[in-house]
Amino acid sequence: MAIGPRPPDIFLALDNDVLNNWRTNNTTIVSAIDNYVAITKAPPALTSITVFELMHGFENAIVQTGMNARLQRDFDHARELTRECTILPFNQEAAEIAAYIFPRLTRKEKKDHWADTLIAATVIAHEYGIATLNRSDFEMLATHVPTQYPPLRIEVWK
Amino acid sequence: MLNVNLSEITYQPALPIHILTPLNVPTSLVVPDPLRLPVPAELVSKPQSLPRLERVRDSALTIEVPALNVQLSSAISDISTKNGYQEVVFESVVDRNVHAYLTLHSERSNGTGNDLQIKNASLTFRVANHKARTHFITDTLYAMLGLGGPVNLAIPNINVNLTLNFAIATQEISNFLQLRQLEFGLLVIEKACGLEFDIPPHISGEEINSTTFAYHAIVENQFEWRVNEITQPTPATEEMLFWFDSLKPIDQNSSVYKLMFGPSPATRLILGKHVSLGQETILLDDAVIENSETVRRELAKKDGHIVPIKIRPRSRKGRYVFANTPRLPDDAWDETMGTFIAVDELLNKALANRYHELAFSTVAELTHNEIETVTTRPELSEEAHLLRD
Repeated sequence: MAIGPRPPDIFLALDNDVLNNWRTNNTTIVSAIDNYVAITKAPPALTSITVFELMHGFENAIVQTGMNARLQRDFDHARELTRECTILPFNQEAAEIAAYIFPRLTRKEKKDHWADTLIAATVIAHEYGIATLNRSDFEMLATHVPTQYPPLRIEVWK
Repeated sequence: MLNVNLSEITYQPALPIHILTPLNVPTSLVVPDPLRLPVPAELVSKPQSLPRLERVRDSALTIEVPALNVQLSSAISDISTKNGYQEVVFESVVDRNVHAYLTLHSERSNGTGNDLQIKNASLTFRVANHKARTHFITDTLYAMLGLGGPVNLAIPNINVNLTLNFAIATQEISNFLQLRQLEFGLLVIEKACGLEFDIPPHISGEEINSTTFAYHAIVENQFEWRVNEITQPTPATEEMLFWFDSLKPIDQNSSVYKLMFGPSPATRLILGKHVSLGQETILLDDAVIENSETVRRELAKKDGHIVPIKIRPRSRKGRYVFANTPRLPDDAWDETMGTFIAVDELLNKALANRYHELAFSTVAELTHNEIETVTTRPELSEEAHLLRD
């Protein structure tokens, strides 16, 4: 009886690495998205930070090599993709969670995981989980989540 | 199915409890207007002449969606025409309360002759009531039109055979499928509990949550569900103090307990109806009692006053176990419902494929080097992190 409604604790946002593997037709990610869509009838969410990373990639390419028609078309498709996905905003609650986590990281962790911190804070604030390739990074961040919040739900799509 | 080992559980006294529901309930759903506009279609097959309509009596409208292995046939119940047959509407009854309206738009073939050629078509479904079955079938039909690719519409008696592509936005299809999923949950509850729901124009997140919960109670009997907090109002008595002092943590030196609440009668309010779900037991594997020292001090007064004990599972999850829950009859679905249920897997795959195509198209035209650039995460310079640890 798989077609009925599903519990609320199943919604996921994609980490940047999973999103990129999806875009480049990685079969594991495609299959995981198939399963996710079968359950939720919608694509996984993106955090506003992930959208920043996605858009930054195109803007960075434009700065480096200039705009061309192919780049423009794929950039437009990327915007279309973000319109289809639920975007989780980096809101007040996410900001407070990130502010709690960030000073508790080492200098190296700050450098390597500043974006992951903002992503983790955003998904916790919206009570989503994160689909990522890198469990250890998010597990490390999860240890610093304030105790009044539910644990960070991590799904590894590898 | 989860296995529950009751011997591990610390039993709770039989007291009423208050469970804090999830902070984030699911997004509400808006049910589309039943008098919605027809879905326009692009005619893929060759233009054909509008046949004479005299022979249409006793004929059927056939909707075939080859990509979804679906063929539906229903008798034509009415025909209406406008503008000298330039617009002809065929009505047929797909299910007892779901009517299909196929509109054929025709023009004179060379602008002057009498021969009318079918130029385009549209299809709409209208509901005669707002029951779960009616909406489930209608939402499935719209999703099928949107995801099925070329759809063959035929009225064999008069040799109308059209292949059409229907244009429905992906977000709209996603909404139809989410509604359909919820409506199926309502149908299961209806069949198991002998109820009938009316679908309102707006279904709140709380209603979605209650429906989903009841559906799982009926179909699975045991499942994990969100529990943010349980408050147990406990009288300060000798018995309750003894119970509190007897709680055994799961590890020495920890203050985390396995606790059980119930069994107690469970009901949920769904679309204005109380749905009885039998006996409900909640099992917490990682319960933490808030302010346990204060709680003990209050219980030790033994004066009968009520001490609200707040219990929070670390995982924010509990296992719900149901007994004497209404069951879904084995013969719950007729043939028509069977057809609309069976198409679920193919609809899911077709929707996922839409998202895949969009995701792939974000790098489809780029060179290897360009893909490398657009997928590289932004980096901050070394100096940006010169914050004191």
